[in-house]
Amino acid sequence: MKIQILKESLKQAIGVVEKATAKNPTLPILEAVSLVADKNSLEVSGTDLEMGIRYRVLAKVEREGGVAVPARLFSQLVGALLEKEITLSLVAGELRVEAKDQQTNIKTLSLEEFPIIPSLQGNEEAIEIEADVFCGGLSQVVSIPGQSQTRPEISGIFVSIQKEGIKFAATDSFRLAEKMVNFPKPQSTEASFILPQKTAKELVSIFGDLEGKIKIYISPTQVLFEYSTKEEAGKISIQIVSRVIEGEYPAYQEIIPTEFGVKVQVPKQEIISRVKAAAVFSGKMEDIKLVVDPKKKGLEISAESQDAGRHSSFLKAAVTGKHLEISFNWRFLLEGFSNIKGEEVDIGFGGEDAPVLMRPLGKEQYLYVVMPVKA
Amino acid sequence: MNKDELWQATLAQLQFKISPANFATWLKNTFILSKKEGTLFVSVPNNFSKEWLEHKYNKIIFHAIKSLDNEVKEIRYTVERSRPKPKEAPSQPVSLREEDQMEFPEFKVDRSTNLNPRYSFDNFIVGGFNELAHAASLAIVKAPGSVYNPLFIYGGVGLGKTHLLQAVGNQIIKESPQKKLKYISSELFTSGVVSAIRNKNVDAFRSMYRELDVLIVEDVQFLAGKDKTQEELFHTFNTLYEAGKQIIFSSDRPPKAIPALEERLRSRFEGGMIADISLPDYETRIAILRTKMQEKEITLENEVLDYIASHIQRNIRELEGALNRLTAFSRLNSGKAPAFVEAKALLRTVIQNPNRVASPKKILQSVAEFYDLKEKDLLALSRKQEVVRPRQIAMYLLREDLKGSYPFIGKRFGGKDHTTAIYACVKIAKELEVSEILVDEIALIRQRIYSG
Repeated sequence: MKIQILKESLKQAIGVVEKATAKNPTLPILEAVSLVADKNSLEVSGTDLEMGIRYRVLAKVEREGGVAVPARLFSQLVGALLEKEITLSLVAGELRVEAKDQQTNIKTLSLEEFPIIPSLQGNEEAIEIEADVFCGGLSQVVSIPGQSQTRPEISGIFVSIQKEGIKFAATDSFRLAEKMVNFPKPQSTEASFILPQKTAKELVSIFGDLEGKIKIYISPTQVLFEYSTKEEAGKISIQIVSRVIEGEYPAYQEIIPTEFGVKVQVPKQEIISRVKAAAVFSGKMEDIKLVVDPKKKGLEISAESQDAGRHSSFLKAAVTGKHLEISFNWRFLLEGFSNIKGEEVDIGFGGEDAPVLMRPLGKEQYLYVVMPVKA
Repeated sequence: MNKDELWQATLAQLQFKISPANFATWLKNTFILSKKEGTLFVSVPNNFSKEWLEHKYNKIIFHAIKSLDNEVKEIRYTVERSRPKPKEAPSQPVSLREEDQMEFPEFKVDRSTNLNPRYSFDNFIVGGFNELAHAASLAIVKAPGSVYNPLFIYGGVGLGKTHLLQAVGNQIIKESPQKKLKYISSELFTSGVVSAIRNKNVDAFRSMYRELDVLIVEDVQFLAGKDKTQEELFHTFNTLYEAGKQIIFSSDRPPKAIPALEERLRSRFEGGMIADISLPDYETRIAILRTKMQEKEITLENEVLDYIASHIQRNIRELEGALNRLTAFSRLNSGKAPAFVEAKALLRTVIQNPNRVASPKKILQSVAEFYDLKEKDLLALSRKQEVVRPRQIAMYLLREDLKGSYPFIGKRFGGKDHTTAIYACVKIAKELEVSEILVDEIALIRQRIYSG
């Protein structure tokens, strides 16, 4: 193999692919990326056997061929090079990286040992959506799943593709978030899958800032995300393939409360800073207390710690319903508010030991349900 | 050679041709699904394994299989969607202890099996009182459907029937995730039958139950008098039993003592293994308390433990309730465990619960409930066989447990003569010496009286 390539393209490619590599003592090849040159492009790929990334960039190929090299080492090297253009060649079993007056020889691993990353079978259902819309929606729920030992289904994000849009849902059994993003116009594919949290995080970080559309191909056992630029100059294509989590996602709609004895509407920023202040004084259980006071028309937020002291604040708010005292883990509360994009938040309470629903006011289709802490 | 043996033999050959790391990575969780006309279908856990086996190992796998089974012409690899295996995850941070942070109640059970994953054999404490039931359960986990079928477990409230049954279910699913299992209470089963009849989809209802590998039905005493449900259960039972599927029942009393149960169903219940769970002895109660203490991360003085164990004798759930109170106290007092005096005060309401003191009313109520009668039937003048015996048992209990005088007992039962009461008590006492069944029944009734 011998190719010439722009350093920037290679750096970006390796930066993305590196995310899929993994430390694995029994299978050290997983710490490597594979570089395969054919026709006029170089394909960089890596995998941890849960997800795999293939990243294709333009390159001037003098001799086709391929090699596997340790990912971290290669990415550090490429990052440190100053030249715009570099030459990669396979010489006597080593990868030679030449950049004008800099020369590096990297010990390689056997490409034969490198896992084959599954590709499209041709019978998958496919949909297309703007990358930033998809990732924006996903990012609002990606932090929620819990590593449940007993319920692997909820360790991932439920992605439900419907005619009008995509619904993302995630829960760790203490709280639940659901986000809906719309297609510009309805389409016909309907499908759903449970995406591992790791894949979801990488999707957001890899595709989140890209312009253009991604294509999603869904099969019963895996899902493939594909992004490619249209223009020939600087053409890249990225494929991320991931296993889907097996099992049936719980019927989470049953969890979303529909009746509220008490309703409060608060400005988001205000309540966030008040919750943060109270959090300083929360105890070991990280609990803070909310008191909904219809007489004083507002919400009291307080916390008390045996060792540190106590704090309370009062936030004027629109209140309907009766007096209610309820405690929460402040982290759960904060995460709900922070994931909301709008400025005003509607909070619906069902009682001191019932789930609470938080929703932005306005058009944003987002909701967050959280269970209280026992007082 | 069946397909599992064939695959084992193939793997045995392959291990010499493939490095151990590759062997473990690519051949883990693979098995032969089926063989059709020379094509062997091999299930692999994911697409990575599929690609690898197809492209790299197909030749050597094919050779290995060919040497064992000449008919095989082709191997196909498919990724099977099976039940997910729980992964070992890091334990949850301290702040999320479940007793503080509430969970969505919907999440506590698995929808397809109805099992609550919290129940396992690990936290099930074995003592003389439940040894037999536990051993039988373990045997079933090892070989569902082939040892004790059906298993019938009975015992009073709060002694761990549900825990044991759910643990069996969870363990079976853990060991063979592809097994279809359903855990259901009789009440749910009944309402299933009712709605199936109403919605005219009885066939769908039946086929759902008849495809199961393991069926667990709780509290079958509630089937008393529900003829249509009994019939459905009877047929479901027969189908499953004949197919060698495991069936487990639980009840608060032995099959013989369940009133209004069709004879053919009763005899099915008795056809396998019947195991009872009685009351835990003092040492076991202490052991249970110690295990729960570990779970709740609290340490109590031996004196306190002794106090709880010797005052709460009939119900494990109440033991836990008592411990919960003390845990709550210690949390409010920055982790300081309550001393003996404090503990005594805290537990006063639990232990001196008026419910646990027997009264004539309570005895009559419990006896009537147990035999599925109305209280007033016991007091009426009827001489029907099904009323006479429970009435005698009630009289016996009034005498034994409340030390009621014979004239008092007679009066209580609609102004009967004191000789009637004497006759009843003597009769039951005599019968107790010879009838194990009666001993059981009376123990279960007492359980109801004292733990209500």
